[in-house]
Amino acid sequence: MYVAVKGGEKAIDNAHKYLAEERRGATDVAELSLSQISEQLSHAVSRVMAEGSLYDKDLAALAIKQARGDLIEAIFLIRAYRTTLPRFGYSAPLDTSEMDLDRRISATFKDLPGGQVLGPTFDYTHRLLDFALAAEGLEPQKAEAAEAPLDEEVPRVLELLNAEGLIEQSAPADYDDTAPVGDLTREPLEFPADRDLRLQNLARGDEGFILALGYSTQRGYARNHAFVGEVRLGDVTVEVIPEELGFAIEIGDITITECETVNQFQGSKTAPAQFTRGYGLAFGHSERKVISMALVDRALRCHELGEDQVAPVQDDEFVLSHSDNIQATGFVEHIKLPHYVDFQSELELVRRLRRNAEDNIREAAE
Amino acid sequence: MNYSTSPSALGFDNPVFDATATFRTVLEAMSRPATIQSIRHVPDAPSGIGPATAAVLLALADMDTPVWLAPEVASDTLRTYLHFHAGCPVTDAPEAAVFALLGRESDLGVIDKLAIGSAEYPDRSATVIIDCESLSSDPGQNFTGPGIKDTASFDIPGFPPAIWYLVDRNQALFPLGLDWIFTAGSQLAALPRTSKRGS
Amino acid sequence: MSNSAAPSYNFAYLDEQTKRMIRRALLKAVAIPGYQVPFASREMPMPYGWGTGGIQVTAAVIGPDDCLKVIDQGSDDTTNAVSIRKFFAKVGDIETTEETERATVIQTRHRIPETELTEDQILVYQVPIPEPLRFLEPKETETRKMHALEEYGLMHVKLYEDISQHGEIATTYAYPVKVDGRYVMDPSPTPKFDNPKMNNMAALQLFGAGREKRIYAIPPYTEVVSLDFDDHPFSIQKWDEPCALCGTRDSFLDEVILDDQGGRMFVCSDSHHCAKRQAEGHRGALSADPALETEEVAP
Repeated sequence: MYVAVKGGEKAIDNAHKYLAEERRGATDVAELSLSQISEQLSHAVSRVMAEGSLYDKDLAALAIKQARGDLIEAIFLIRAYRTTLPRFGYSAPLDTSEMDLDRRISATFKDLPGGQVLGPTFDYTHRLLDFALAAEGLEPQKAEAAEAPLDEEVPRVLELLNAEGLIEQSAPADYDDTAPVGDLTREPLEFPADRDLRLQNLARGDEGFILALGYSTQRGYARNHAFVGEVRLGDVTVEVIPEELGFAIEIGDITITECETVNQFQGSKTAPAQFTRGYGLAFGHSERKVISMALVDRALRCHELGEDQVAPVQDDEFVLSHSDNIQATGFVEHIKLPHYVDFQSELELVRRLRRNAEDNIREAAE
Repeated sequence: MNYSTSPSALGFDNPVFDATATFRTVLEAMSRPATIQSIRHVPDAPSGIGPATAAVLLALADMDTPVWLAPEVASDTLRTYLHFHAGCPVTDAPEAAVFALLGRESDLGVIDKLAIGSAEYPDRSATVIIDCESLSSDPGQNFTGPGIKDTASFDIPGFPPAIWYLVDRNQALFPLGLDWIFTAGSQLAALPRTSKRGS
Repeated sequence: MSNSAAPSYNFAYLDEQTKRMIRRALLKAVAIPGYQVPFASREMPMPYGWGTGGIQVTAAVIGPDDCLKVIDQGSDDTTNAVSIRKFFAKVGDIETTEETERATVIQTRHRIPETELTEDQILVYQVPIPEPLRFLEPKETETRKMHALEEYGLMHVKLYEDISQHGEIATTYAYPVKVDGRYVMDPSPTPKFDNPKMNNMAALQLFGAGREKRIYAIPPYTEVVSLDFDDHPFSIQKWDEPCALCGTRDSFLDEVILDDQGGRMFVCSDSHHCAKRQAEGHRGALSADPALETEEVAP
């Protein structure tokens, strides 16, 4: 006698309870607070905000806590929440030259207006485990304030080149500044995709995927000779222009990281040589992301710049279709769901093919 | 025109459930071409259009769907109603319309200007809504095609027969083409581009 | 049914604007049978691959008077089917059922119920990869052109290569079909056993692919032909033995491993169909209650 397996509902309920227990861990250890996460795991919060496409540190911290530190799961929680929010309108373009800077470095000029501002960076730390951190309660040393305040004006590095005509304009001459900007969360992507949609896709894209693609350009798969013109980190003001008012009002400040690369120059018999650009921007402090993004952005501009498409990173359909880690993790992981029926179909076929082959061999032998 | 004035007619009683029920009726009509369906919960409609027409537009039109109105039906009352209840832009350009609304007296010439989609995106075509006097399932025009078991019979009493010429010509464009919704009172019937008129 | 519908969510979860967008796509899909309509798929509170496309279609279609059945692998009790049913009960207070005959909307993954569907029902398929040509040509820009030009030679070449290699077409699920003589369509990963049910079905068939952002449809009473060749006609799976529980020889059977000695049995994948037959007194070789006569015995 055989009794079919039943009880999926009860199993699911219990699995969820078990999951909640595991998330909490040992109850004699203090529970994490959201402010601990947002203050002390700020890079995780930045990544969840950037790839979740929602600027809210508290919600990102909650998502990280709920996801037990699985950042892709946390990004998923944020995305699923974001999609239920009403849409009030679009902000005016951010003016990053007006950024309240925490960090600003250029790899192209030793010194420049506004100077090099190192800020809070891992760059020159020696990656030695700091066992003092394991002993909780130690106060870090205070950073000393600079002798002089930062310059009021910190022009964007690429605009300095632009003034000499050495680099392409940030927007083509025929660019319509008032045309609506695409939104891939509102319209399905079509290919070829314009740069606004490509940049939106990359900004939401998986940091690891964008990193690997950016890296591939440096190793010769569509090399485009990038210099980091500038990386800047700081706060910018977000403004909206309500239709009924007709002028901009400030709605708050957000922390962002921006990277502009200076790339391989182009030139022809009719046009003098000129550097080209790649661009990256992300919520929070996400340098690895924005530098990678600028490399990939530049690679995806191959058609516009008359370059041959020779590598995956230049293929907009390949890059944009596979960058989203929520889509990727869903589809990759879904193969653990039941596939009994399809597998049964294959079993039946393989058994029959083998039987037919054996029959053929037997007949041939007779 | 001042859109801030409230419309003279109310919309759906229950916008969520009535829109769902109306959509299901339209889906049924489009899935079973040339059958006459009744809208169960019609909205209060402005003068000049029937309640089924109003229901279809309130259920399906919004800020993403430009609606073109034939001059005979394009009253300020209707514009205010659509602006207030559906939030859809009313366009003067028939080629930009996602929905085109014609009345029983309207010049059918505009049909040629509506979007029929492209070979790669045949879905990017307009849906034509024609507000008629009445619909009849008595033997009239016979149709075959997807959604129709054998044949379906349907007619629009008193409507200029030129419409059938346009329906035929549109059908020949498949997979491109317009899709038709005919309304009368609280009833409607649909002819997707696949429905072929027989003798 | 509980009345605990979360007040913070709209009926059936999706906001009204999203529902309208999906509804418009559905109407165009019905008007162009088998053609994949792009739609702005939303991020759902369950992962891509768990049926987000089917769930969005169901959410756009379902109303308070509907009765929903959800199956995965043919069964109502598969964990994801349970989870989706619970979701709709929670966000819409929607009545759910396991009875195929009672359901007005049936959402499915990988199977078509064995019970013949009626004109009063809508079948919603969860679709992972909607493009039947995708594994032959990965680029959307190319496959879209092929559909536009009705250029399906590549698909026939693939099927014919199967024949030259294996002696038969080696596609057993997601077996491509041609709808109304025009568009080649992926029936979703249903076994080819179910393909004939799609042809001239009385019910409306809707397909949702969330991650790939496509919706398509087959209107009722529409010709759906499985691609084949004159000398290698399409055929469906057959089993050597009947269902071990209800004794039927007409349904798709799942293999269940009973021990590590090679013991196995075959039972209906459609759990409701099997239970109904057993309730009607039909018995298989391994029925829980073999007291009634066994009408068919496994060889």
